Formats: sequence, C-alpha cells, structure tokens
Amino acid sequence: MKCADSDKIVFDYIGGNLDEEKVKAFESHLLVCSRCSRYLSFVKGTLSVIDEARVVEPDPLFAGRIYKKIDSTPAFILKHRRIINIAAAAAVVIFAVFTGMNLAKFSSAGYLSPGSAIESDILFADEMSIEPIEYYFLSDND
Amino acid sequence: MNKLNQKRDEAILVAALKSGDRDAFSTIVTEYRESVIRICRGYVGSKEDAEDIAQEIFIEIYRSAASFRGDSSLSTWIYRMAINRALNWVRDNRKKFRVYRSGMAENERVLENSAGENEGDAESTNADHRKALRFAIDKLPSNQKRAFILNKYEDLSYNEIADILGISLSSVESLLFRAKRNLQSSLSTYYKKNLL
Repeated sequence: MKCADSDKIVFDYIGGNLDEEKVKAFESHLLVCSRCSRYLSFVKGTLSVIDEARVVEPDPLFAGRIYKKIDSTPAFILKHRRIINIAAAAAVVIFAVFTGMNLAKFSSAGYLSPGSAIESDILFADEMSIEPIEYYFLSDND
Repeated sequence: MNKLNQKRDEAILVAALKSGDRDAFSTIVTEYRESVIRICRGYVGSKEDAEDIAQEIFIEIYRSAASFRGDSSLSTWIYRMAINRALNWVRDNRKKFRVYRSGMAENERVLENSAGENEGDAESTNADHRKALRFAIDKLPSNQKRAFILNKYEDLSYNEIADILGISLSSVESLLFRAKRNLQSSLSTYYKKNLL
C-alpha cells in the first residue's frame, strides 16, 4: 500500500468501516511507514476535537443573560425588528438613488461630464473661427 | 402512544411560547441549549463565540415564535434557525473571524516555538488539531458543512438531517460522503503544509 492510498482510507479505518483485508493492508503499511503512522495519530487527534466540542458545560446563568437582552430591547423593536430592518434598507436604497440622480443632474449641466471640456473647446473654437484672430486680440478683454 | 403524547406536549409548549409565556421559553432554552451550542461550535470553534451566537438564536426564537406555523416539529424549526443564524454570524463577522483565527494561530506558534521544539517532523499538538479541523471544515461547501455539523456535532440521523435541510435521504448520504472525502483531502493538505 502506498502512502497516498493510506491517506484516502484513514477516516474509514478510524470509523471501523474497512473490511478485514484492507485493515490488514493498512496496518502492515503503518508498521513500515512512520509518516503514515504519525498522520493517523494526527487525524485521530483532529477528529477528537469534535468529541471535545460536543461536551457542553452547564451554565445556570445562560437563560438569565438571554432574558436580560430581551428585556433591554424595547418590545416594539424586538417584535418589529424585521420590518425595521427592511425599512432601514429601503431608506439606504432611496438615499443612494436620490444622491445618484442629483449627481447625474449636476454632471449634465456640464461641470462633471468628461465631454464638457471638449464641448466648450468646440464652442470657443467656433467663435474663434467666426471672429478673425486680429479682432480677438484687439478687443477689450482686459 | 408515546409519540402522540410527545406531539401533544409539544403543541401545548408551542402555544404557550407563542403567547409569550416565559416558563415555556425557559423550558425550550433548557432543552435545546446544548444542541444549539454544539451546532454553533461546528461553525466557529470558539466556545465563547458559540455561546454568544446561541444566545442570539434563542432571542430570535423568542422574537419569531408567533411566526412558527407548526409545519415542522419544534426541534426541526430550532435546528434550522440555529444553522442559519450561525452561518449568518460567520458571514457578518468574517473579518473579525479571520483576524481572530490568524491571531490565535500566531500566539500558539509563539508558544510552540518557545517550548523549544524545532524539528520539522514534530508530534502535532492540540492547537494543531484545532486549527486543522477549523481549516478543513471551513473549506467545505455550505451544504456539506451543514450536513456534517448536524451529523458529527449533534449526532443526528440521516433522516433527521433530511427533515431539517428539506432534502432527500439520498442527498444527505451524498453530502456526507462528499464532506468526508473533502475533509480527508483538506487534512492531508494541512498536514503536508504545516507539520511535515
């Protein structure tokens, strides 16, 4: 048996789900492979963490802490928490849409859109092409 | 006859809970506290976090008792709520959770190093086991994780799991088979990466 094969059946070995032949092959491999032997110990140790987690110590104050939290939250909020959450989410969406609309309005006035500079350049260019350059320099712009 | 009596008792308990009866709620807390904490431990590992989440779950049970329609048994309803709440808590606290886990890993590595072991092939410690298990379970897809936690942490039968998750028995078998395979693969990866 190779180490890769041994790795694949280690769970079944620990769980007692292997037939006799496979158990023999696995255990024979362990006798000659210290790496797989240590890996078996590692997996056993890891799965034993689940066994430890299943042990829940008694806690006589547990219920009291729950009641404290329930009692400290206004009944209205406790009862209607879902509706309040939905209303809060809706308010955020409405605010975002409103802000987005205002930003769009602001940009269409020509201050923010990337094309606005080009538009104004075109305007000025048109003006310059209409008005001869000499007149432009002679005009009272100062 | 026993089952009938159990159902009747449960119906009385649920009716009392729905009317806000605190004694009924206390009975439910007492009866299901350990189960709910075990399920939470499957999701978060830490005892303290599991108890915090469990408290939130019972508050949720108290709050939404009126909406319990009785389509399922009380235990099924509570297990479903526990799983959903625990999953939501992990999602909402993903950042803190990652920091906690990496911090825990860092502290434990410091302790291990200071104990003087430097061999690349040293025996694994309890901390290694906890980290490895957390690593492997967290990598499971959520449906496999749910089935695995209900089966291994709460010792529920395949039928009970099928009822809670609303899936067929064969789906439960398939989920647990794949979970086992994925866990094996993850643990092997973890071992090669960290302990060899």
